[in-house]
Amino acid sequence: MNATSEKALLDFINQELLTNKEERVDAFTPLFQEGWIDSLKILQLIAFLEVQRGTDIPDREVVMDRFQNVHSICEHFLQPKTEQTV
Amino acid sequence: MTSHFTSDTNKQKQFPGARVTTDGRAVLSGVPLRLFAKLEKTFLNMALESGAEEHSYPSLIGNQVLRCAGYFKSFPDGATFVTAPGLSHDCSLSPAVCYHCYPNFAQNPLQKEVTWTCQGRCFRHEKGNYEGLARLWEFTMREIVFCGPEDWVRQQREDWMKRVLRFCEESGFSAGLEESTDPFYGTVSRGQQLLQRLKKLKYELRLNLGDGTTTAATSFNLHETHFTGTFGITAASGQPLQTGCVAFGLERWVLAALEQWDETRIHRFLSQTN
Repeated sequence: MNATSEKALLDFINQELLTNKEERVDAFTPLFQEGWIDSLKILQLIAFLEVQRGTDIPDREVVMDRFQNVHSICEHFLQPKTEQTV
Repeated sequence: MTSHFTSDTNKQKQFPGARVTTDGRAVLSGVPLRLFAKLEKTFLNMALESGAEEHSYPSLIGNQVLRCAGYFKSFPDGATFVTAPGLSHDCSLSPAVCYHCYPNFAQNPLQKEVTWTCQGRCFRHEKGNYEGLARLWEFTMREIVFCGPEDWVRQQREDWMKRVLRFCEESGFSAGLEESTDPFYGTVSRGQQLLQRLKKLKYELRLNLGDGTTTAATSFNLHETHFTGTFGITAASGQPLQTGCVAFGLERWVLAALEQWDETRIHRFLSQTN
């Protein structure tokens, strides 16, 4: 797990998406069951992830086991690519 | 007469007793009408057996209800507005039957979970994109609407998915259940669809129509707190409430029966006692 990516994503969600200062999530807060993310915020979140990783995220990859919380999002979408060995 | 009731020959086969205008109005008689009545009675009985309370609503619905439900934001071109000389308030022809239920649920704090069933004509303007009985401007919907705590509403939907799949199996409908989304419009439509799929808020039962095509004949929907929040639906206990619904598109079921079944099977289904 890349701790820098996780922190960057947490900062983005807590500072940009959750405008109410009393609302804060941590790496394991369920983002969708608890209603933190609405239909506008999910678009902003995906746009942020696409910029961070440099590639688009197809709709079919937006599934709950990958978007459960900040930790799982980083694991699936912001994991540094390992070099392929031959 | 025939010029008014020209069958849509583009995408749909024609069946004796089922005439559809090019602007999406269906005229049924004979076997299609008997199938319609039998299927409607079957789904009503399923609802009553599950403990649902039956309600009847008009086709007209106040635009303030649709506005409160967020209908115009999600489907800005779908409404069929109604006007009349001297009309002092704005009305539409109802795009779904369940919209009538939510203001009723909000009248008094609910003492316990509720399951209502209602049937009515629904109207969705599709700008000419009609496909025989599979996509009509005016169609008939039987709905079962739930309101209660989240886990209870989810369980109702699960039970209904099983119930309807069992009905398909027993009566010989070729069908499959799929996750789905509504065709939202507007700037956050992709966001709404992503959320709907992510949270598995909508499933559709798709009935086979032959040559690889299917039609979504029943949807199983969770609304979370959307309607309880916007209409102010509360529980006497103070417990947070959610809603969900199951919606049968009756003309699509008729179409699937006509497409899938031979005369013998149709006759057998029609002669079963409900």
